[in-house]
Amino acid sequence: MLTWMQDLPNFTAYGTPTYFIYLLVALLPLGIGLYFGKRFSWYEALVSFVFIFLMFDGQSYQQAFSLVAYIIYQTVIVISYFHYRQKQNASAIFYLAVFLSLLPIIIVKFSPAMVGHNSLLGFLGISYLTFRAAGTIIETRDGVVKDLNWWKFVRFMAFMPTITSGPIDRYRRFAKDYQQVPSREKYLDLVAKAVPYLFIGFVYEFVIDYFFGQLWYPFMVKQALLSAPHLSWWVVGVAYTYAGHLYFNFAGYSFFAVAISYLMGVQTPINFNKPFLAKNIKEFWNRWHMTLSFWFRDYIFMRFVFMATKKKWFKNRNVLSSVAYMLNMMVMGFWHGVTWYYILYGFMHGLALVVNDWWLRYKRKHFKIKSTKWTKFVAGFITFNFVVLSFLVFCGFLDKLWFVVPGHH
Amino acid sequence: MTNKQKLWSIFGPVLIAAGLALVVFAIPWKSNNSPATLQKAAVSLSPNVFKNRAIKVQALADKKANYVPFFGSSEFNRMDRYYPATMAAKYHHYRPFMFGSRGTQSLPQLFNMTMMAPQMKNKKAVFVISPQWFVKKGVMPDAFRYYNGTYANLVWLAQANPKSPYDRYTAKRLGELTSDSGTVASYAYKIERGEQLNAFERANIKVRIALLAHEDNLFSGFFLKDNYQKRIQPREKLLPKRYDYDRLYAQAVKAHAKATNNNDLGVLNSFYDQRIKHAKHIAGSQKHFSYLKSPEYADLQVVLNQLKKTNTNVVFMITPVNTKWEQKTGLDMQMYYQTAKKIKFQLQAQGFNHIIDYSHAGSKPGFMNDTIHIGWAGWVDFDHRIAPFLDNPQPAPHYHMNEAFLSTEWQNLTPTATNLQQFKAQHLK
Amino acid sequence: MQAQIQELLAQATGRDAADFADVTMDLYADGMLDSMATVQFLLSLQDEFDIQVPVSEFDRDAWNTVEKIEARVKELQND
Repeated sequence: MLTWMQDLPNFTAYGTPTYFIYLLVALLPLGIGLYFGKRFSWYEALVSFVFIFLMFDGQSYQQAFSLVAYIIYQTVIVISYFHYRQKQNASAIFYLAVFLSLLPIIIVKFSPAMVGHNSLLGFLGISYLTFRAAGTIIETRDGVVKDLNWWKFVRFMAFMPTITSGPIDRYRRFAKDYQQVPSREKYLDLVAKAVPYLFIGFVYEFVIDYFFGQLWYPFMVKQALLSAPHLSWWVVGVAYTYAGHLYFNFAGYSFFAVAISYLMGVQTPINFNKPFLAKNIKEFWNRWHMTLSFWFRDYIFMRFVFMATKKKWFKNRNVLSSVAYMLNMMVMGFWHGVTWYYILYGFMHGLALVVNDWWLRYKRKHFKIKSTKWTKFVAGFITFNFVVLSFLVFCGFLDKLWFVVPGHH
Repeated sequence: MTNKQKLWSIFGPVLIAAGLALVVFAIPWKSNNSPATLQKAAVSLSPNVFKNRAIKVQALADKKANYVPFFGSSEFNRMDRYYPATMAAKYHHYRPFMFGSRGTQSLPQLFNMTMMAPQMKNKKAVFVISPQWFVKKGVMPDAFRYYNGTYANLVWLAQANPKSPYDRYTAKRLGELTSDSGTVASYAYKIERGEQLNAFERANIKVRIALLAHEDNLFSGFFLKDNYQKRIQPREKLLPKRYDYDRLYAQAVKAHAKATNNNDLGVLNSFYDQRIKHAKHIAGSQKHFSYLKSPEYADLQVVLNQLKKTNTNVVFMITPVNTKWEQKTGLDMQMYYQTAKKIKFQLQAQGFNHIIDYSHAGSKPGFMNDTIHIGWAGWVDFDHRIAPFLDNPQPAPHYHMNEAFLSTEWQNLTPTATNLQQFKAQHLK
Repeated sequence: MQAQIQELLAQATGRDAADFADVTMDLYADGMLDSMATVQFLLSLQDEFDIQVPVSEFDRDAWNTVEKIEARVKELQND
C-alpha cells in the first residue's frame, strides 16, 4: 500500500543545512507578501503541507497517517466541546473532553511499558500537539476562547515550523498573530531577529552540537560502558557532555522554529533563555524549555493550587505548594515516558523545587545573607550541577549501564 | 533608518558571507598532502580518511610510496609491535594503508573502495573478514552512517548502473541504511527499481560532488589521529634488524605471555582490567550467537563484485576468536567454523582463492590480542603469509561472479555439507 | 483600591504592604510574586472585589504591576 510514499525523499525538520535552502526559497514569496502587507494564506497552506509531508513520508510514512488521523480526532473533540461550551458548562463533560484529548498520548506513552513495543498511533511530535489541543480545551472551559472553528484550529495545530518539537504556542496568542498582518515596521523587526536566530541555530546545531552529540558524548558513553555495571569517572563525563548535547541540540532547534515562525509573521514564543545561568531551580525552569514549563505551570500547577485553595484541601500553604510542585514535576516525568529514569527525573526536580522554596523561606527568616557576586556564583554552580545530574538520569544512560545485559543489543 | 537600509542591514552581511563561502568552495583547491601526512593517514584509522577521497586517492596513486589498501575492521586497532604496518616499515617494500575500525563491514568498505576504484585497478589488496560481521541484521545503520558520508554515497550513485543486480541490491541497502538523508535515499530507491537517474539528478550529483571534493581537498588532511608517531614508529625500533620468522614468532609468544599475565584467558592485561574483570553476565552470554544467516553474505558479494570490476588481486583473511574466552561465553565454535566455511565457499566458488583461514587458530599460544582480535604471534604469522604475495609479482586473478550469492536463499542458507552441495548443483555451473 | 491590592499582595507573599508601594514595579521580574502567590492573590481578589478571574485570563504581561492590576480589576467589575 502506498509504496510510492516510501520512495520519496524524507526531510526531517531542520535536519541539514540544505533543508534551509529549500525551506527559505519556498517561504520567500510569503515573506515578500508580508512585507507588502498581504498574507497569502493559500500559498502558506500549500508550503506547510509540502514540508510537513516531507517530514513524514519516506520510510516513516505510517506516521503521516497517524498524524492526519490524530489532527482530525483532536479537531472533532475541541470543536465539539467548543460548541457545547457556548450553551452549557458541566464539569463532567469538560473532564471527558480533556480525557479524550489526552487518550492518544496516554496510549502512546504507556505502550512500550505495557506491551513492549511502540504504539502505531505515535508519530514525531504527538506530545507537542497534545499540549496545544488540551490547552485549547481548558481555555475554552474558562470562556476565554471566543472565536474558534475547525480551519483555524487545524492551522494552529499544524503550524509547520513548530509541528514536530515545539515551542508550544497557545491558541489565543497564535490566532491573534495569524488574523492580522504585522505592519511593515513590525515585520522587519521580526525578520531582523529571525536572521540572527537562524545563525545562532546553525552554530548550536551544526557546529557545537557536532562536538557534543557526535564526538564527545558517544565517546564518554563508550568509555563508561567499559566498566559497566560499575560507576567510573567517565560517567561524570557522560553527564556533562549529555547536558551540552541536549542544550545545543534542542535550543538550536528551537531557534530555528522561532526564526521560521517570525519569517511567517507569527511570534512563536522563545523556548530557552540562557538556562545554565539560573541561580536556583525555579529560575532554571523559567529559562529552560520555557513553553513546556509554562504550560505545566499554567495548566497543572496553578489550576491545582487554585482548586486546592478554594476547596481548602490543605491547611498549610507550604504543604500545598510542595504537593503542587511534586505533582507538576511527576506529571512532567510521566509525560516524557513511562520508564524509571524519566519518573525519577520528575521526582528529582519536584523535590528540588520543594527544597529550594524551603531554603528561601529559611534564609529569609533566619539570617540575612547579602546577595553578592560570590553567593550568586555559588547558587548558580549548585543549580547547574544539580541540573546536569538530573540530565544524567534523564538520558537513560544509567539504565544501559546497570540493567542492560551486554551482548544483547 | 529607511526600510531599504534596514533590509540591507539584515541581509547584507548574510549575502556577503554566502558569496564568500561560495567562492571558497567553488575554487578547485588542489589537494597536496605531504608524504608525512599520507604516512600518518595510512594508520590513523580516522573516519575522516575513510569517508573522504583526496588522501587515499593521493596515497594509492603514489607509485614510490607503494601503499597497499588493507580492508578490515576493529582488529586494525590492535597495534602491537608486530602490527602489519610496523612489520612492513621494517622488513618489506609495500606500505599498508589501513581502512578499518569497529563497524566497517562489507558495505562501508564497498563505498570506500568505490571512491578509489581507479587507483585499485589491477593492483593488490588485503581484505580481513570477521565472522562477527555476519549477525542476523547485518551492519548496524548507525555504524554505516558513521563511516559513510554523503560524499561516498554520491560518488557511488554517480557510477551506479540500474541494470546491474549488484548495484540494485546495493541501492536497496543504501536506501534502508541512510534513512534520513533525502536526496541520496530517493535516488537509491530509483536505482533499486532499475530506473536511470535523469539529467537533472545526475547534474545535481555532479555539482554536489564537486563542492564536496573541494571541501575534502581543503580539510581532510587535518585532525588525523597520530598513531604513526605514537604506536608505529617507536615500536619499529623494537624489532630485530634481520627478518627471521621463527625468531619473531617465538619472541612474540614470549612478549604476549608477559603482556597477558594477570589472567588465564590470554587477554591483554589492560583489556582484562577494563572490560572483563568487573563484567557480569559473561558466562553463557554468547550461547545463542549465530553468524550463519545474515544479509552480510550478500553485502560481501557486492564487495567481491567491486574487486572483480577493478580486477584487484586480493588476499583474504578470516579472523580467529580466543577459544578460552569463547568457552566462557558459550559461543558455539562449530557454528563459528561453519561460518568460516560458508564465507570460504562463497569466495572460492568465484575464484577468490588467496585465503588465510585463521578460524581454527584461536587457541594457539600468543595468537590473540584479546577476546576476538588477533595480535602478537597472530600478526607475525599474518605478515609472513601476506608479504610474499604483496612484494612479489603475482599471476592475474580470474574471478567469475555468480548472482546467486546475492539471493536471500544464500543469505539464509545453513552451510551443512549437503546444503552447500545442493546450492552448488542448483546455481553454480 | 490601590491600598487594598497592596494589602492582598502582602498577604499572598508574606511580605509588607510597603514592599509594593511602587505601583509600576514589575512584580514578576523581581521575583516578588511566584505562581503559588499569584493563585492566592487571584483568589483573594475574587473575594475582595467580587469578580471572576479565570486562570487563563491571567496573562502575566497584563497583570505585572499594581497599576495594571487595578485597571484590570476595574474592567472586570464593569463587565
